[in-house]
Amino acid sequence: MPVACRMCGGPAVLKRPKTGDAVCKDCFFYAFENEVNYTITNGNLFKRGDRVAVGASGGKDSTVLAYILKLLNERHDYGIELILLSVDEGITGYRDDSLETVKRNQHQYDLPLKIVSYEDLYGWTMDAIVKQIGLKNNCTFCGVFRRQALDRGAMLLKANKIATGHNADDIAETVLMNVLRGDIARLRRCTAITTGAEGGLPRCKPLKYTYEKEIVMYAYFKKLDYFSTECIYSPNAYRGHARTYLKDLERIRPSSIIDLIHSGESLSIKKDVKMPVQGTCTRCGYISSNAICKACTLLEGLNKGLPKLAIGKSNKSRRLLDAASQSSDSTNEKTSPKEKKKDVTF
Amino acid sequence: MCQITSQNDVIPKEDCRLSIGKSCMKCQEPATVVARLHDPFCSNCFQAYFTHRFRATFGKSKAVRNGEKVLIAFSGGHSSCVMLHLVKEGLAEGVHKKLRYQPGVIYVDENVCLEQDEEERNAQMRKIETWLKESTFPAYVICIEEVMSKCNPGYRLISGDQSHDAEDGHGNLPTENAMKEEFKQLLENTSSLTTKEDLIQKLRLKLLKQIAKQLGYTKIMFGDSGTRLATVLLGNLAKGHGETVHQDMSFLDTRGEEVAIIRPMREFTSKEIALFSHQCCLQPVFIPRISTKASRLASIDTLTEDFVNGLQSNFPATVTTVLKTGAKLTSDEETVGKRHTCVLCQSPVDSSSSASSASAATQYSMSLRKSGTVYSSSSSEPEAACEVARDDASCCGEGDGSCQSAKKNEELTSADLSVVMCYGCRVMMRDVKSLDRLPNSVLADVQRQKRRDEMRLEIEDFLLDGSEEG
Ligand SMILES: [Zn+2]
Ligand SMILES: [Zn+2]
Ligand SMILES: [Zn+2]
Ligand SMILES: [Zn+2]
Repeated sequence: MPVACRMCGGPAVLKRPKTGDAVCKDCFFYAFENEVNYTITNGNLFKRGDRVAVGASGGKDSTVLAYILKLLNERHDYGIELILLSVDEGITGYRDDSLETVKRNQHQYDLPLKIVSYEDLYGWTMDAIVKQIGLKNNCTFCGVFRRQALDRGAMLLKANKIATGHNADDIAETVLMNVLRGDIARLRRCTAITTGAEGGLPRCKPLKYTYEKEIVMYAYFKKLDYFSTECIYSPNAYRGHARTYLKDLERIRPSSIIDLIHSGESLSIKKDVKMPVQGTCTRCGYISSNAICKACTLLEGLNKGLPKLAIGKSNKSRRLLDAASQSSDSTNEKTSPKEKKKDVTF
Repeated sequence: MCQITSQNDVIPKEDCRLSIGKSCMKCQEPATVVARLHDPFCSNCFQAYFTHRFRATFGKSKAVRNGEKVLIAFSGGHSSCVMLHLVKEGLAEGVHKKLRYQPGVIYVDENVCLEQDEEERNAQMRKIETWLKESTFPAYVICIEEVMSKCNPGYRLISGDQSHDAEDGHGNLPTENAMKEEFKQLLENTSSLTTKEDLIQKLRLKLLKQIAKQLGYTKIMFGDSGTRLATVLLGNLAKGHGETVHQDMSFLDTRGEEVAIIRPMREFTSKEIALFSHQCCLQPVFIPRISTKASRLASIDTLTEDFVNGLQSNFPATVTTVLKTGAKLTSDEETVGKRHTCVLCQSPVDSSSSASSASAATQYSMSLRKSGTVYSSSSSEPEAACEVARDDASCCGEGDGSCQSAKKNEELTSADLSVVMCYGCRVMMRDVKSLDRLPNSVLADVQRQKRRDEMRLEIEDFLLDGSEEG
C-alpha cells in the first residue's frame, strides 16, 4: 500500500529530508518553492528594479538557484532582472564541462550569461598558480580570488546585488568551522542572510534555509541539468572532519542543520571582545580588515615569484613580502598604491 | 562549488609527542607527563601544578563567598573523584590556603534509566557510598525519579548533620514506585536516545537545584572537564541551544534565580584529569549510563563526543580553542531580561523579533503541512497519565497550593510550548510523545507562565514602558 502524502493525501513518492514527511512530487515542489519565496520575501532580499547577478557554477546549488529565481520572479512578480555570472578559474578539465552546463542553462532558462576569468581579473589562471605553488595551498588562492571575482564580475554587469547558492548545509558547516577555529568575527557574520556593503555588492543567499539533499531532490525531479562540480582539490582534513560530523548529525536528527543555523543566529559577541576593524583595501578598494586585502597580497606574492610568503596570517605575510621586496627589487616599490589599483580594478 | 570561503583555513597542528628524555620544567627531574599542550612535568610538580590551578579558578572568579554552602555533584567518574579529592585536601590544609566554603556532596542515582543486574548495582552503590562517607562532608543520595515528585523530593542522608528532618519527602514505598514508574514512562515515550539523554540531564539539573535549595546550598559544583564542556558546547550548538552555550561552559553559571553552578574542572582536559587521578591512586566508580555501549551514531552526544575526541587527538588545541570561542559569547543582552525563561533549562525563550530566521523558516515549513499539529498532544492516551497521577495522594502538606496535583488534564499545545520553552527544548519535545508525562514541577511552571501572560495581557494598557516583569 502506498504511503499517503502528508499534505494532500495522495500517493507519496518521497520523504522530505528536512522534515521527514512523506509527500508527493507536486506537494514537494509546492513546499520547496514556497519556502524559498518565504525566505526571499521575509528577508527582504530583493527590491523591485534590482539587477541581480546570480553566481552560476554549473553545480547543483547555483543551477537550482537560477531556475527557482527565474520561476519565482515570474510567479510572484518580484520585478527583478536576473543575469547569470560565471567565474572561470582556468583549471583545465574542471570548468570546461561545468561552463558548458552554464551555457546550456543560459538557453534553457533564457537568462543572459557573463563569464569572467581569473586570467582577465588577475592575470593568472589557477593552472598557472598551481604550477608555481604546487597542490598544497591552491584552495586558499581559489577561495580568495573567487570571493572578489563575483564582485568584480557583477560590477562589470552593472548589477547591484549578487545572489549565491549557499545552502543550509553550507551555512551550518561554516558556523561549526568558525567555532572550531575560534574565528569570532566570521562567526558573527556567517549567518547573515545578506552580507557585504562598502567595497563589495550586497550578497544574498536565497537557499540559506534549504537543505542540500532537497536541492538535489528538486533538481532530480525537475530534471534540471547540472554538473557535479566537486572541486578536484579536496578540502583540508579539518574541514573534512567537520563535514562528516554534520552529515552524521543530519542522520541522527534531520533538523540539526537548521538548529545549528539557529544557534549561529542567536549568538552574540561580548562587548569587550576586540573585533577586527572592517576597512577597505588601499590597492583595490575591496572590503578588508587589513590595509591590503588578501587577494592583493596573494597576487603580489605571485607576481614577485614568492607566492608561499603570501599564504597564512595577513600581517605576517605582509611583513615577509615587504622584507622580500626591500632586499630583492626595490624598483617594484615605485609603483604607488594608486597606480597599482589599476591593475586589479576595471 | 569550492567551499573554501575562508582566508585562514588552517588549524595549527600542535606537537603532542610525549617528551621522552625531557626534564621537568619546574625542578629539572626527569619528566613523566606532559600537561597543557607541551609542558613536561615530573609527577610531584604535576600534582602541585594541578592543585594550584584548581584553587586558582576559585580565587580568580571570586564566585564563592566566605562560608557559602556548596553542594558537590558527585558522579563517581574520574573527574568528580579528582574534584572531591581536591576539595577535601584543600579543607585539610592550613588556614591561609583553606577553601572557605562549606561543602556537601550528593550522588544522583539514575538506576531507573537502566536495566541493571541487582548485584552489580549494589556493588557500585557500596563504592559510591564509600566515597561519600570518606569525603567527611554531609553526603546525600537522591534518585532521579524524585524529580516527578509533587512535593519536596526525598533523599537519603549518608553522613553528616541531621538538622534537616523529613529526609524522605514521602517516606512510603508506593509513592517511590509510582515515581519510578512515571519516570520510566516518560523515557519510554521518548523516541530518540538524543532526547532521552537530554531529558535526563535537564531533569537531573532541575532536581539538583531543587534539593540544593531545600538543603540551603546556594551553589552546585560540577566536575565537567574542559574536554567534556567543549563537547557539550558543540552538541548544544547542534541542538539549537546556541544562545546559552557560553553559560554551559563558564566557571560560574547563574541561570535560574536561586542556585548557581560552578565548574572548577573546566581548566583541565580529560587526559590531564585521568593522569592526575592515576597518580593519586584514586578509584573511580564506573556507573553505566543510558548511552553506555551505544554506537557512535546513536545520539548527538555520542557522535559529538567521538568527533571532539577524534579532533583532539589530531589537533590538541581543539578543546581550548572551542572553549575560548565560547568565552567570547554572550546572550542577546538587550532583550534577555524581557524574555520568558525556559521551563526546562532556564535559558531565555527565543524572541521572534528577527523576521528572517531559522526559527521563522522552520515554523513556515511546519505551517505548510496542512494536516496540522506539530506536537501530538495528550489526546491519544489521557487515561494512563491520569491514573498514575491520581494513584498516590500522599503529600508534604504544603498549604500554598504548590503541591496540588498539577492539572494533568490541561493539554499542552505547541503554541503553549513556544511561549514557555526555548528553541532547543522545543526541538527536543518533538521526540516526546505525551507532554503530560513531564514532571509536575515543569507542568506547573508552564501553567504559571500561561497565567502570568494572561494577566499581563489584561493589564497591558496600564503598564509603562520598561516594565519587565517576566
Ligand atoms: Zn501531495
Ligand atoms: Zn585589494
Ligand atoms: Zn618537577
Ligand atoms: Zn530550554
